[in-house]
Amino acid sequence: MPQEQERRSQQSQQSSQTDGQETARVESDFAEQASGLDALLDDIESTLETNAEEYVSSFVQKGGE
Amino acid sequence: MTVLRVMGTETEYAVTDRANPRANPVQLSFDVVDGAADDDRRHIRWDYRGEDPVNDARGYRLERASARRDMLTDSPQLQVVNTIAPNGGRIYVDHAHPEYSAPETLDPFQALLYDRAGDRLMLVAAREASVRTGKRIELFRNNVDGKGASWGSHESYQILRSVPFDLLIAIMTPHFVTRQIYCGTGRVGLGERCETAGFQLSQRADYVHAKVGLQTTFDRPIINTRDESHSTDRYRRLHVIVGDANRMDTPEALRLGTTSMIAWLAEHADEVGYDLTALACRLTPADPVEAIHMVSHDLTLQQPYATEGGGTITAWQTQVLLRSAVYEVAAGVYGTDIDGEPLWPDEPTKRIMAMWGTALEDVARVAHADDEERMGMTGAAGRLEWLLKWQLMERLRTRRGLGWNDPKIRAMDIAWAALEPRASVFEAVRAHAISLIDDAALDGARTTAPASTRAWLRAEVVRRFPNDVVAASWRSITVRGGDGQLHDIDIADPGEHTEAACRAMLEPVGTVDDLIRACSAER
Repeated sequence: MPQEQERRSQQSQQSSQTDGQETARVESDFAEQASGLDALLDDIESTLETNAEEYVSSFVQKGGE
Repeated sequence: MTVLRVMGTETEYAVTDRANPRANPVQLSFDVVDGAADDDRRHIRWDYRGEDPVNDARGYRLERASARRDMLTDSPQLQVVNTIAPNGGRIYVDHAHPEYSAPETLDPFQALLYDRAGDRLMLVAAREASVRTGKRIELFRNNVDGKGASWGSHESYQILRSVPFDLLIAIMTPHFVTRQIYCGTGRVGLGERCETAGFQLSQRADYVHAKVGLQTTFDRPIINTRDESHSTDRYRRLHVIVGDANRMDTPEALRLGTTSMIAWLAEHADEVGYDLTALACRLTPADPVEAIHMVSHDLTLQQPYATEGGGTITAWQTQVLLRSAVYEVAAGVYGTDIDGEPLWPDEPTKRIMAMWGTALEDVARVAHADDEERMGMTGAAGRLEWLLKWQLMERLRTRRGLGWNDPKIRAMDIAWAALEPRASVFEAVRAHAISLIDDAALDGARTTAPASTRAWLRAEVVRRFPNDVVAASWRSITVRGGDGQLHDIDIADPGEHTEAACRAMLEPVGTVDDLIRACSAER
């Protein structure tokens, strides 16, 4: 158990460091990515079913839980 | 406990057959579960003895005769297909949806990891099912079809039973009404059947119709009172049904992490003389159901709701005050460093508290921005799922001149949730969302149980003795011994039966009879 906790806390430390780095990287990357979303929209539009209306109307589920 | 406590997720998926829009969803769900079952474990039944869906946490029981059939989840003939996932979780048919219950975990990041591992397991199962049946089965991680139906993404938290349930209701209600400002997945359409065109923060809010209740399939409550602890008498399990199925990691880690910290607050406020009831009174909406709808619909993020105490408050202010209360109590319980930061006893708690702060900063910035500024808020959109979804849709709307009720926009909302990467809008923009999970860990979590809960022993026994295991449940494993008799292995305490506690015991075990002997000696 002690080993396990140590491993877990090391992982967490790594991840909290990564969090900081990630935020910094993400902010700078995302400056360019604002226009990136526009570029992706073409791909996304082609991903969507050609007949969006049929896709939406056929997505019918029953309640759950 | 801190943010660390036994917790886990249950995720129901929407299921369709692309080749046959009229396919029976119950059959499709059975197909998926069948696709998930390995040959050597498909005979293992779920043991419903520990389930008690009509036991109410408010201290009474619903008569079974007056329960609707769909509340009787322990009635095995209604749901026959079930498989124990290799990671100790459970894959099964729940009404008309395939569902994955993650194995028990100990912190929100681990719970997130195992929920995501479930997405992978279910995707593989759906592909396998398509091959076996010749259908084109697809799964979606969302909660609404826009035509009136809703299904759940539930959370469970182990909480000390010594906390009065009324206090838990009082402090969780304002949290559940308001956490959607940073946990929401975003949804196209307002109203259960998209009666009004528009966009809202949450998938689930419009389907909530009661403050408190036992039921989960109709008249859904903000606080679910099902008292089925799957644990020892010391704890209750808070079963949360108001949450959205998130595709992004940050909102899900926060959904689990902040709720765990509110539970911590309820467990510890007394120790330092903090008056939690007064805070709850200040934050609780006069009409919580109306407030949960209003908060979800309010894209200004600034509309106040009337409180029980006679004042008004916004969702953001409520979250700021809840987080402050956690800080105040933690400062008393743990002491503080020279900057006044509580000496959090573990990293996941420290990390969740920081992420909670960032989320509230993000929401404040978005609240003060106009639509054009919001389109450029790339940092916040990496953490707020509803914002990233909104940005993408708003771009398409502007480009093509579309209204919110245009089929293209509605299709985008559905496809956001598709698990199959080539059909998924979320997968196309995944790089824009902050990831809290690495691929190697995710791969491991599909096949390896969490080491620090009883899920480890469940998974290990099923892995080593699949033919001898007859049934399993959250709190027991039933094996058939060499004598032909059935033996229950009791794993009632979720925090015991961990790898550290059991690996040495299992080392010399070669046969199922050795296992039975070792486990009874253990007791």
